Amino acid sequence: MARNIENLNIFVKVDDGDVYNFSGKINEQSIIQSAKDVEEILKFNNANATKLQDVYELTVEMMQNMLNYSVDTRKIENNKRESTGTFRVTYISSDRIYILESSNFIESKDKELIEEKVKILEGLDDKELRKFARKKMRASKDNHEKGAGLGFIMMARKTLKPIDIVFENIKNNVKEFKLKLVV
Amino acid sequence: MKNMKLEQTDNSPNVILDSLNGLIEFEGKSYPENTFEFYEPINSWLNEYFSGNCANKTVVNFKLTYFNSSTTQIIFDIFDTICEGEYEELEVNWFYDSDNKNGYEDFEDYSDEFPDLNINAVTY
Repeated sequence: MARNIENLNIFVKVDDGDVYNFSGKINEQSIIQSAKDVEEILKFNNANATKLQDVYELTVEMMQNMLNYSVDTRKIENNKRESTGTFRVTYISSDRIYILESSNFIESKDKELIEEKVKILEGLDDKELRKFARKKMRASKDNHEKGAGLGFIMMARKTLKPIDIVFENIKNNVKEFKLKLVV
Repeated sequence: MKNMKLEQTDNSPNVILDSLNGLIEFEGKSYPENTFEFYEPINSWLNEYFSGNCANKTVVNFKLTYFNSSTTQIIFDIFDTICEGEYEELEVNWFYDSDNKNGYEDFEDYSDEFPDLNINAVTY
């Protein structure tokens, strides 16, 4: 049965207990607020500077991706946009790792494009990912593109495990896209 | 040419583009919703500045704490503009948190890509 996108939300939890719960639309302000909240939680958990930056930047990147590529994104005032989706950060205190998960609805035709971008990064070590990022930036500059694919390279560099992506059919031409990173 | 100054917000940096004193500075966080649109006037200013309008000495400071992947591309483009531009004396400084390995790796990547700029790594 298709899920109701209006019920999707954003929340942060530690182990099994929610410590932050935001329900609402994804827009510029909610991304800023969520990033701030995540930053505070990491500081509270004494995360080091690198971990703090990794989780903060991935939070922003994943939420901005939802805003940029969701099928239900719509324009609001002043050239800003609004969308729906789920974003979750779970801190596993025993392992001192953070699990970041996002879920949003995309056009089915985007599935292959995302799979292609993620597959090309599989098996690359950090040095190779950095080299690939620079190649991408040079190509984007020369072709007047807008850094296509850099977000997934950033994710691949920061995640401890391979980027985990899942697509589920929702209805014709719409899939639920689930992304999971471990930091 | 006119100076440009943008005040810092929650998701965009403080930007100083001072042609008279040759100071170009970015400080704070950079993940505006429309990143490329945000930097468009900045890129235009930089293109004009490095097309024969630079001060005797130009200092470029990057003091960014967090930035999204689009900003990564923007910074690359800015370095490219400087590299291909006209300038007399140039100092480029990349500020980073010494406790954070990401900041130094970003410095390494940009300085490897643009060796002629002699980018300095500066800890804070």
